[in-house]
Formats: sequence, C-alpha cells, structure tokens
Amino acid sequence: MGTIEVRDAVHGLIPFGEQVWAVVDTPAYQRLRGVQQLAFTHLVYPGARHSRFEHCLGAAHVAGRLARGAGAVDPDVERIQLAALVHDIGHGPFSHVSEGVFERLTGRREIHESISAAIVCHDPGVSQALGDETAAWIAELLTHKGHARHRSFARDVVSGPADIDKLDYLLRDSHYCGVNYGRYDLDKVVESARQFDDPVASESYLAFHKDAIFALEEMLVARYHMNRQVYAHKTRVGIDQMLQRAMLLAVEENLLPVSVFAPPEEMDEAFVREYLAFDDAQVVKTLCGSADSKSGAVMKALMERRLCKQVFKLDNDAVLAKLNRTVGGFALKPDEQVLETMLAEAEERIAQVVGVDPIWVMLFWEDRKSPLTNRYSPRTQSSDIFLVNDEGQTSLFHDDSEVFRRGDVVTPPYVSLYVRMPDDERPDDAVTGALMDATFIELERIGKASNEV
Amino acid sequence: MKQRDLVLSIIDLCCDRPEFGRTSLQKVAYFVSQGLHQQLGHKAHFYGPFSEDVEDDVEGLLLAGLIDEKATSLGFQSYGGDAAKKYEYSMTDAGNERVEALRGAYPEEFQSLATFIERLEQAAGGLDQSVLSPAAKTYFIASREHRPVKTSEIRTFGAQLGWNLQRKQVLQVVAVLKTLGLVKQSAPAGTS
Repeated sequence: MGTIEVRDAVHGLIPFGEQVWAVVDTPAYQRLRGVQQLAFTHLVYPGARHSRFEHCLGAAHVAGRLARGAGAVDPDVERIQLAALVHDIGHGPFSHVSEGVFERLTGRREIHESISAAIVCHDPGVSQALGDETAAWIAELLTHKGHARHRSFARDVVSGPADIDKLDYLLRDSHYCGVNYGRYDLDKVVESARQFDDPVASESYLAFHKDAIFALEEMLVARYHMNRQVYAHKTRVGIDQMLQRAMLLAVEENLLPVSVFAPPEEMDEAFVREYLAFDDAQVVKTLCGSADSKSGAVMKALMERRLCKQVFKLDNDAVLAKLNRTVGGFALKPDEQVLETMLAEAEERIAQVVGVDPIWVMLFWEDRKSPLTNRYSPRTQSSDIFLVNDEGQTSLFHDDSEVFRRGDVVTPPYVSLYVRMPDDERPDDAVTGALMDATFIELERIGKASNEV
Repeated sequence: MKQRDLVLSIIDLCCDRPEFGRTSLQKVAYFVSQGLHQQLGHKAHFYGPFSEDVEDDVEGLLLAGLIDEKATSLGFQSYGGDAAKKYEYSMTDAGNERVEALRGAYPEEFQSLATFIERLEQAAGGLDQSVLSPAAKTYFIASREHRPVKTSEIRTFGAQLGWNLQRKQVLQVVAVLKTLGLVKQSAPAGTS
C-alpha cells in the first residue's frame, strides 16, 4: 500500500505509512471520531466540533517531523509516530470530562493514559496492527513505566514538557475554536529540534536549538492563553461540571456501568472490550433515552443549551471579608474528605433558596495552577525543556528565557456558584444576594469542619 | 492527623532554624513521608523530590493565617537578573494555637514526628537544603529501584531525572541516610 496522504485542517497534506493506516483502520481507533476533543465546548465556541481522531493523526504527524528533524531515523521514528498516534486512544466519552468522572469514582489520577496502554496491549486489532513488541514498548512509554521510567528522547517527544500533544492541540483547538491565542511557530520549533546524548545518563533527550527560544516562549504563552481563555472559560467550566454531574448521576442510576466509569487498576481484554463500546453519542443516547432519570434531565438540558450559569465567583478578599481568617482560609481550600461529605447537602440547601432541584446547583472550587508552572507532572514542566547551542552545550529553558525564568506564580483559588434557574434566566439582584448569603453559610460550615483538629 | 496539619507541625518544629525555608520544607516532608510512612505525594521534580500536595497545603495554611511566609533577598542576582530570594516560614498565634491542639489530640503522632525531625537534623548536621536535597535525591532513586544500587547507578539514574549528583556528594549523604536507618551500605563505594 505504501504511503498515503490525508488532508488535515491544521497541517495540510500529511503522509502516513502502511502500519499507521493499519492502526487507524481498527474499530478501536475509529471510535475516536466519536470522542470530541473539547467535549461540549462547541456550546461556547461553535466551531469546536473536532475529535480526538484528528488530534491523534496530527500528533503522529508532528511526532514524525519532530523526531526526523532532531536527527532520528527509522525504525525509531516509525515507533515514536505510532506511539503518538495512539497516545489518546484511551480517552473516554467527552475526553477530559470522563477523566474527571474516573478520578471521582476511583480516587486515582491520570487514568486515560493507563487505558490507552491497556487498549494498545489488549485490543486484538490494535495490538495486531502494532505487533506485540511495539505495543508493549508504547504501553510503557504512555504510562512512564519500564523503559520509560526515565526521561528519554522518545518520552520527551511523546509525553514530555514540549511534546507532540501540546504542539498539536494548541494549534488545533485554536483553529476550531476560532481564536488566535493558541498559534505559535511550529515550523521553527521543528527546525530547531535536536537529539543530544548525555554520557552520564547514557541516554539521549529532545532539545531545541537556542535560536528557537522565542518560538518556545510563544508556544508556552499560547498554552497559558488557551488555558485561561478557552479551557477555563466560565461557561465552559459550567458545561463540563454539568456533563460530569450527568455522568456521575448516570452511574448512580445504573444507566452507565460502574465497571467502565470506575476503571480497575488491572485492565484486561474484557474491560477494554466493554470500555470501547462507549463514545459521546452512546452516553448521550443512553442518558436521553431515560427521560425520567436525573442524569437524563441534565443531559437533555445540555443538548438544548439550557445551562447552569455562573452567578458569582468569590475570591480570597470576598470570603475573608465575611468569614474569619482561619475558617475563610479553610473554606477556600477545604479538606477534600470534608468537601466530599458535605458538598451535596450544601448544594441542596442553596437550591432551596431558589426552589430548584439540587441537580441544577453546583458549587465549584477553582484552584487552577498556572499552566506554565504546573510543577508536579513531567509531562508539563516547561522548566524541563532542554536547549542546546552550536557547541552542543545544554541549558534549561527557564534559565535562558527572559520571559519564563520566574516559575513561582501562584493563582489564588476561587469558589464559584453555578445555578440553572427555572426560567433559564440569570437571577436578579435580590435572588443573587440570597444565593450569596446561603453560599457563605455553607462555606462557613465547610470551613469550620475542615478546621476541626 | 490530616496531611495539612502534618505540614503545619513540620513547620512548627523546624521554622526557628535559620536554614529552614521553602526547599528544605519539601525535603524534610519527603523524609518524614519515608521515615514515618506517610504518603505526601512526592514526585521527581527537576530540583529533586517535590510534592505539589505539600505546596498546596502550605498555600492553605497561608490562606488560613496559620503561618506567615517571608521572602528575603539573598543580596545577589540569580541568572537572568532576578533578585535571588529565600522563603522563610513563621508561625502565627492562630498557628501556635492549632499546633497545641494537635499535640493534645495526637500526642504519639506528634512525638514521633518531633523525634524523627530531631534525628534528621542530627544526621544531616542541620536542615540545610544543600545536604537534604542530594540526600532526598539519592534516597528517591535508591528506593525506586527496589534492589541494591551502586553509587555510579545513583548518578546515572539521577542524570536521567536531570539531577546532577557528584560521587562525593552521594557518598556523603549515604552516611546521613544510614544514620536515619533508610539504607544499608554493603560496600564503601555503593549503597543498598
């Protein structure tokens, strides 16, 4: 079959070899057409209807360019490209919204990477198309286990601080949302990619020539702006919360199987088979097909764009003006277990103020770390991007960048209240005041309970 | 004791040492997590084992007015021109009251913590990050391998995490780790 090109909205004509197409043609991969990249963000940015399918194709294309640009050759490049192709194959319905559901139901984090690895190894079509050895290598790369416990060139490209995921999704999300915040000079980033060997570590890493420092800064600014303007848009946050609530309620109501939405730690072929039956449409159909259920009511409201709206957002100053310092501080950053126990009752009491069902009231603690200083994940630490000069000497991006050398910016936490009023209108000033009073009472309760020794 | 209270107690027990600051808090918390078997969420950050959870707890303690954080200029510019700063913690009256309540509610837990930190301080000759940081990196690598590891391997694995550990440094901190009972040394040049 040889190389076949596909026309991509972001990268233009992109060529892929036989093995890539063999993976793409599997049912597990085709399922990604039904998993929207940004869930229901199209309710805010109407163009945002793109799926994980084209993002993964784009990521694979960028992986090939980046690896070859850095001097890697086949079969290494082919293997890296295949890993990029399947890096998000484990995303659940509505992408990161499912991830939130998995986390709530299991208490674990970064679950979709483990599911991607399980699909790569246990889905007969995908594992056959990849071959057992490549499948096992990719599974370790995606989960940072085995050979990928340590940094390496392949890990840097597929799952590092300047990886193909970010390099593609910023441009793609920006394009489909119709905003310019995510644009940066991909060509310069690719042109400056290098592979350098560290003799002490006996390993090679991805680095960028120092000439690319402005392109890298631009990419990181793009990440920051996309985060603030698109991913954390107040209406989108409310929509994601509604979607997450619908799915959690559906699990409670036995409409969605707990075996899928609370994934086990050990994921076998049976789990993978059951999991792959769910995409966005399947969840919408299941929930809307059960009109009397609470989860169905929330999903139907989303489909008709009758949304929970942000009524107010309380910052540090607002909370501490009403509550004493210690209780207010604990209310803004409550104990997780306390919150889990008290949240539903708090929302119920706030709902009584406006006489709506508690399913339409959502208290949301927003504690977004700056995407530029998100320090705990090796996937996102921009401080870990290597630069290399003409003499082959390496340095760290944060040491050389005049823009990003300060990495300790802290974003203060907020508490927001989202409510869907019976008439779908925004509450008037009197109702807003009553909701705020009720919210402060609940925050005080939560703060006091968190403050208990 | 809740995790945030554990972090508060560590700060209470350490904050009068002049060398104690933001980085050494992370390292003391790391050793407490290892020595007292508490999960504090440390992962391999570029500057050594680092816990976002601990950092989050500190933010919570600051918000609640239980501790104060003061940034002091170190009197020189770091690379790139910013003033190099050291972040120090102190207890507020509300923080002291809470620690007293914790001592009363969890006397054994608090005593174990105090004893462990005293041992750490004695073993490391203080709470200076210049010792605690390579010690934490070395132990992070050694404990992750689940097998005896050589000094050269510590350096190699460290380099893979972006940690520049000198051979002399590793040998020095192995003595600290041995005193704490965290490692056994099977030969002068290696750790197990």
